[in-house]
Amino acid sequence: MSPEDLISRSAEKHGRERKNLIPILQDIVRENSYLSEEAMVSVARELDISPAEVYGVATFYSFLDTKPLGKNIIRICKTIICYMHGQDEVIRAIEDRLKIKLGETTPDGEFSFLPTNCIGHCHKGPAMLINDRVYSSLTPETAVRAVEEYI
Amino acid sequence: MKIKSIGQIKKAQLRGLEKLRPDNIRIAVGMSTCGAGMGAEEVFLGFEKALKRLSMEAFLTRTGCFGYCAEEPLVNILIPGFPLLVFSRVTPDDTLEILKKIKKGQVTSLKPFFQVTGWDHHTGRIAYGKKLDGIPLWDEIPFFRGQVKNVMRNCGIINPLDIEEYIGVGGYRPLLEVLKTSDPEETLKQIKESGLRGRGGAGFPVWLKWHLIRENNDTPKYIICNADEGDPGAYMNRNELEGDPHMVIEGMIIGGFVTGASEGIIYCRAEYPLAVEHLNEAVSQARRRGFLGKNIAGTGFDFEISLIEGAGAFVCGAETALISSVEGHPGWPSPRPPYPSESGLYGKPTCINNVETFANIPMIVSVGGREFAKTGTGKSSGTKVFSLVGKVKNTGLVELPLGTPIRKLIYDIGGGAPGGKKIKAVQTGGPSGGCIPVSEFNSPIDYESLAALGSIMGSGGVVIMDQDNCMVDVANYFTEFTTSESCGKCVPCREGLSHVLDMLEKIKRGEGKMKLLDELAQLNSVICDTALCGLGQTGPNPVMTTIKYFLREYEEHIREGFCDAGVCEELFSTPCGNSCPVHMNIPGYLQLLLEERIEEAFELIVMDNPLPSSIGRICHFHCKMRCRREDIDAPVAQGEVHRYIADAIAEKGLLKEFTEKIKSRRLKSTGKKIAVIGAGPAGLTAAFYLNLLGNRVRVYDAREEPGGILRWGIPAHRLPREVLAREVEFIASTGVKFSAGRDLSAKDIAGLREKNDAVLMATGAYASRALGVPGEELKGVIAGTRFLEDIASGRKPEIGGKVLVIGGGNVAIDAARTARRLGSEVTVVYRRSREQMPANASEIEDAAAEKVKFLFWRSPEEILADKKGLLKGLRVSLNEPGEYDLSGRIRPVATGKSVEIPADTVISAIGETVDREFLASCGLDTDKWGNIAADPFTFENKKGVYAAGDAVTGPGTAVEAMSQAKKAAFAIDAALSGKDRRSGIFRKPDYENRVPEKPRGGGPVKVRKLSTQARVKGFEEVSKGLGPDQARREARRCLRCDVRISDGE
Amino acid sequence: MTQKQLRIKINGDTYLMYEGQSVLEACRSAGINIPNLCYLEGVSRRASCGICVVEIEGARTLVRSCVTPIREGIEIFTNTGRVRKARHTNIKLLLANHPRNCLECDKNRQCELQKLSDDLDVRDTSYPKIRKKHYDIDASSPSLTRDHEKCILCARCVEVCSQVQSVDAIEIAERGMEAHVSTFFNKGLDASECVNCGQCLLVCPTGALMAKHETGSVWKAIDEPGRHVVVQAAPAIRAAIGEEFGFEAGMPLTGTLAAALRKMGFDRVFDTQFTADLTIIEEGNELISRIKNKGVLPLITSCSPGWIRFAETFFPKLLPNLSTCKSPQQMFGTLAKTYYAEKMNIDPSKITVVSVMPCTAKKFEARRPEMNSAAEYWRNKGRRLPGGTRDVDSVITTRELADMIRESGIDFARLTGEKFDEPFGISTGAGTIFGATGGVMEAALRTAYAELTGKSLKDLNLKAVRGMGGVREASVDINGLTLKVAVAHGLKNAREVMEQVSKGKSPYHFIEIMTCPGGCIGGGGQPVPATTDVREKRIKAVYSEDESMPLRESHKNPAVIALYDEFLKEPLSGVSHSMLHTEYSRRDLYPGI
Repeated sequence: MSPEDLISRSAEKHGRERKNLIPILQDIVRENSYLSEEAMVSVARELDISPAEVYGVATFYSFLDTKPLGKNIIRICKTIICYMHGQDEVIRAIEDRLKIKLGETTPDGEFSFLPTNCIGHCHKGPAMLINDRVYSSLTPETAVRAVEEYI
Repeated sequence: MKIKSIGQIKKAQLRGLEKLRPDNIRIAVGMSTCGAGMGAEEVFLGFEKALKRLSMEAFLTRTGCFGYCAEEPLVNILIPGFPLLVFSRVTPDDTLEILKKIKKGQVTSLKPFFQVTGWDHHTGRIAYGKKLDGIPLWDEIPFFRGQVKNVMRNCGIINPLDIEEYIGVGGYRPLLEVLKTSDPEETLKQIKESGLRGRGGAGFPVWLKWHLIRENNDTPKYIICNADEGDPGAYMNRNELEGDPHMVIEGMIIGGFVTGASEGIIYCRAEYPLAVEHLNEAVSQARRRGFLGKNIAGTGFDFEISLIEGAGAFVCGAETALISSVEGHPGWPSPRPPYPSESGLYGKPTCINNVETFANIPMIVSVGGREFAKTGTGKSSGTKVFSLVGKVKNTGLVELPLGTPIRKLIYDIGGGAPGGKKIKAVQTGGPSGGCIPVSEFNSPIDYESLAALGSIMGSGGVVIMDQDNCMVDVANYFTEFTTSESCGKCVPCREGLSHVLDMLEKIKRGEGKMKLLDELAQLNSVICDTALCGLGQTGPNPVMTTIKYFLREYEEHIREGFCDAGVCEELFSTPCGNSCPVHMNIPGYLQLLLEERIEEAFELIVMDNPLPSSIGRICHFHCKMRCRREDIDAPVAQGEVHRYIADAIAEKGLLKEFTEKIKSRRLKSTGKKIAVIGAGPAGLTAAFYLNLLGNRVRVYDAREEPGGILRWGIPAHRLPREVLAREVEFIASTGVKFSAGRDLSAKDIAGLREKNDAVLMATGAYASRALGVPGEELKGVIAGTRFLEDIASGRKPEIGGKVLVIGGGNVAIDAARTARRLGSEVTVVYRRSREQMPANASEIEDAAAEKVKFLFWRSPEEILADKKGLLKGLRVSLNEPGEYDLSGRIRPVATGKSVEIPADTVISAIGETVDREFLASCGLDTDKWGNIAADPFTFENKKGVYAAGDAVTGPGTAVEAMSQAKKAAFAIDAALSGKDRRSGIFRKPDYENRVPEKPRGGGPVKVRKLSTQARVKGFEEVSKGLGPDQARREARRCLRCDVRISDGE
Repeated sequence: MTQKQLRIKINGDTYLMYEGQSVLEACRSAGINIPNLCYLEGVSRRASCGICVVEIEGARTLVRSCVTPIREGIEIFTNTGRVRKARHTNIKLLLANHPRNCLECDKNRQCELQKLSDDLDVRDTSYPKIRKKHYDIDASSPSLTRDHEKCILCARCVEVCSQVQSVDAIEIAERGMEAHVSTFFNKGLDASECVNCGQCLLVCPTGALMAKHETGSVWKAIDEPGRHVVVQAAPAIRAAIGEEFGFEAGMPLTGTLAAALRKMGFDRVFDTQFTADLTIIEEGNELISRIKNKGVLPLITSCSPGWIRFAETFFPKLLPNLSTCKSPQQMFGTLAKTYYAEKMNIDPSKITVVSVMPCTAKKFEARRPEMNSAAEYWRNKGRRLPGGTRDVDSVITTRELADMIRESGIDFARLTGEKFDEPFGISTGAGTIFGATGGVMEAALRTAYAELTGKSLKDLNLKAVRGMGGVREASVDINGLTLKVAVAHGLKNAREVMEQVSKGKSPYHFIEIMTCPGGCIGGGGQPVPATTDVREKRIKAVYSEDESMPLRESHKNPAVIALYDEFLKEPLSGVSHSMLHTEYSRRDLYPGI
């Protein structure tokens, strides 16, 4: 689906009022993983608001990425519970394995490694999501193994 | 089919009940996110396959989480005629076994986690089959004991995706009743009587908010369910939405009816995809049943619910920010007033409550406000769901009546910290909350009490911290969180919190000054006072409460550059060295030993611990408790290695040469004279350092030989006299002078103050505490310390053939083993359990091996005498385990029953204290326990008089006293010389810094011990220590946590 | 309607105040000034700065006085230790990341942050700079620069851009410490919807938003031997320049202004009002011609360059409605380098035209590619002017002019009034009122009426089009034709009117649109502060000036008449078309997207 089609379809579904902006942006992110400049301008035109406003909203919310992300998105829970159970070591191990820092995307575009707020696995921290799958009770070793499933 | 009347819903309820209690087997797999994370999907498939394979018929379904997340996947199975059996940690492999047994009719041979015989859904009750023997009822499981399931009553029992089951347990009937009576005022009255307060944070009375909106004539009105639960560690709303979405929806519809709103919005955070899915499904089911839409139940009342997914911004939990987000803007909060009840979404009256608040509504309607208010306290009624996470054994969701003491939640239900560690604090209310120290754990959990402690209820996240958590780091974490989630709109929050974070980071890096603490307090107060929304106003709470309750930790970071918990990277080197009270460079000496540089290893040891051979024999070995090797097999026996090294140096005859070397290290004479009172571990240690720093030091002691408790308290089978003598001799040879055998009076001490530049009081604490029971004055009752001292001085105390030792500490065990060696039959009587004995575990083990008997859960009541007045025994009361106390230990509670134990001798060893009278007579300031008061950093009491060790802290271990003395020595020298000169006496050798790629050395080596038969014959040392190869093998097991990445590159 | 009065207490004293007042307003009425950095009456209620806080009995935290309404019995404390500490701390927090180069800053001595920290006696700025991200200055716009390093995120600019101008070129992006005022994807103002009106910089409390400076090039031209530097001063300047020198707002200082300009060293001191009169004649005739010839109506004025850019961006389809007349500034520039050069026999390449404008968009306007008719004129005559010649060389704002006057050492307050030079110094009252919203309309109607009826309006004061109402309308009966007109100022009001036009529902023949609230007197180049109150006073000055003028109708301006005789022949003639008229075209934003 072309970006314009996606946007107008989404606008059709949700409506074209200001309140529908975030759901439309979410649809785009679901489809394309991020919001391109083009997409934001199209949305602005669709809803008749300024692109700067769309940009303001997009950059405010952490789930509305404005940079292209990798094919696989690793989101590691940065919550204190996970932190207390050795999340730092897990992060370091994944960083070492992928040769990128937290918050970055691998040059080949295969992985993005991002922090996320509590994903509600506090009872089994440290936890992370790779795409939609949860990995909990992580150790540096199991975390690297989990990442390797996607290589 | 739409349900329009009470009659229709009653019928639907019966149909729903049939699903819940079918004629056939019903298997419900807990498939909330927590279950799914533990493989519930596979378990579900496993049951499906197993059913097919066994050609069994059963109703296989899904359910939510029962709360005990750590035990997921939980599966409940209902077999007609039996109670509901709940299985925990079910794997796909288990499914076949379980079903086979059910098929064969061997239900009683199943091993479920617990059983449920009947369940009160408050809106409907379900009875199951009769109780089976040998299987605990649900509330007999410690985790569930005391829980009251109101909000979570359906979670883990019904299928959340099936509205019929929800109706089956009485759901939607309250709604219909409310609609049919068409008297919103009456419902409001019930809610008022219930005393329900908002469960999302500040606890605003629900009825009042609803009332205000109801009274507002502006239309349309909105109901918003705040499901943007974002507190780190809080996930109860997720579970409520996943496990029972209809309850929340029903609460919202009732809210709409009462307030006059016709549109409901659920704002759910995007991190909860399953909750969103369940909500969407539930909303459309409710619509199909006519509970949503136009003209609900024919009453003319319209209500619709839509779902909005958050896009990842914590601040949207704040109601004005949430409204801004719903309107399609960034989540910027706006000032209140106006409150959303006046001007909310699109400027219209808006009722915002959180998930759990709405979830309480159907029950209030169903049982009545007054009945609801019977749970909880007057001001805080009902229950609250907590997510119990962090350093606690049992994690999960716990629903408790408000007003339950914190202690109960953490110890009784949570089971305390894993690994026998000490809990330090609990953090409630997420980033807006505060850290509450153990000393406040008796406080009830209710809105006001938590606020009084500087914390808040918040959404109910309860994060437990133990000794391994650094409170500065915890404050830093939460501040980092709040800073990164600050919307950036108002100055105090955006800029202020960033500065708070900056200050905390400085403290964590060891760059902080004491002034920073004042600045933090001042800045925090302004942030609280002027931030625009709750996030900012409460953002400083974690910092403020940690400063309030854990000031000492902040001071340690700042003044000593030391992080006790070993978290702040710049402020500690290794977990083991950090937990060692004298902070030995453990990986350093292990590595030097491996490099066959044993003299240098010894130097590294002695410079941190001048009594290595002694301490290597008697230490608790705090170092082992934090050793990371434990994750692989077992901790490294660091202490045994340092004993080996110290002993080996002496055996090789290298000590003399070594002493000369250290002596040559002594700094140029300062001309200062220092008197150290007490030649115990603290006095010896302080003297050692003060002398090396160039001061003239004389140690005074009442006894004829130096050594203090090491010489006169610890029996020779643990610490041979010659070992100690050798170490005292070493200290003396470096230049320390001793005046032994001088029992100083207060006047003498005054004289010493005159003649010296400084006097250090290291007088220890070994006066025995009295039992305080009748008969204590009888002959044959001996104080433990006295008994040990007699032995140590060569006297032979008279003891009978049957000796009872009362107490559970090291003195008790030492006394017991000593009495065994004197040929008596010995029984140790302790008021709690074995696990709770404060003595070294290995000592208890050795004592048991030497046939010392133990009687637990017994407290002395009276020491009995026969007619002649001779001691004949001890009457003890029998205790049973009660609630946990603040230390996290189970409190002994007298049962009222007593028994008598025959005995000839009773040794009392229930604890020691300082010599209060003597200290008071010296004119020193003392604390409420009679200990010498000393500044924790300068160690000063009166001008020129310092104190350290047990005399200050009360009875502790030898190495803890040495730790104090070491710090005191440097503080005294700094006070006298005006500068910190300690680096002048230490040398750090170079050794290889490399992390072993594969951990080597295998499992732990076993220390050689004297046979038990040989032991009780005399006072020969029991432990022979490590042999040379053993020591090296042990050293190779070290993972070298001291190596930082930067070291290697 | 009588407003309800409330009894309130401020610092222990009882007052009666009107319901609906904010705590801040009530305190002000009671003579207590409450500092603030973000509140903007009628525009911004963000309440972000945390400076205007006061203590209110019973409130748990301090309360923002700017957005808190008073209520009966409220007890307010404005001067407690707690309040002072909070204000201090919040200012210090803002200063932590704020650059300390006040001396170099355009806002030096006019910076609210600077003034506030001085007023509140903030001397200890102990908080370190902690913002890690560095933002480059956005200098893409010909009119404005944005320096985020100096921004305190009060968002007044965002609010003005959105609430007053409905341009929405800027918005706050990101959050927390990363939050910053941004154009779409930080592409720079020039690539955005920005119309260069400069309303944002009028409200900016710091130097984060500044006008581009051109004083250097002006001095350079004045100093250059042999260069003939002429200056034109727009009508709105005289009504506001005094504010820079301690005069009350609303003091017209026409003569003083002329004297100052002369003393500064300009070779000729002219008045934009002259070309304002000219504009009226051209535009008036354009209107008549469109009505007569059934041309595109309504006709919309085109002298406000911000408005032009707004129309190009948001209403490109309505560009044919715009008058083809250049603005008075541009007409002046063209004529100075053609008619004037010829008449005075000065080499046009030696002439530098400097404009003093109340407007930042004028800087942009002068740089528009189509604004070089003089070069075209000379090329047709076989003479090539040096490359890059513009009709108007430099545009300075009222504030820049004040800087230059100060730099010259001229004691503005003590100057004796002088006259503008001829020929471009002669003007009428109609030219004067160009500076106020509705003024162009009023001036045009005076002339159109006379053109069509042959006699002057009975009452030259067309009060219906005056005032500060956002959109004002009037109808004038001219020879049986009921001419319907409307006036809008501020682009949000303009947008409203334009949407009507674009739907074909506009009843008007003629519409005046001014970019800035109050018209040019409220322009982005004017002295700060430019509150509604100040704007109204300036407008008053404009009208009183008009009334004091001997001639009040553009067509009666003798210099203009001479100009037609000598050069232009007649309104809308071929010459005037090539010299004084232009066309605009659609502005595509975010090309390539």
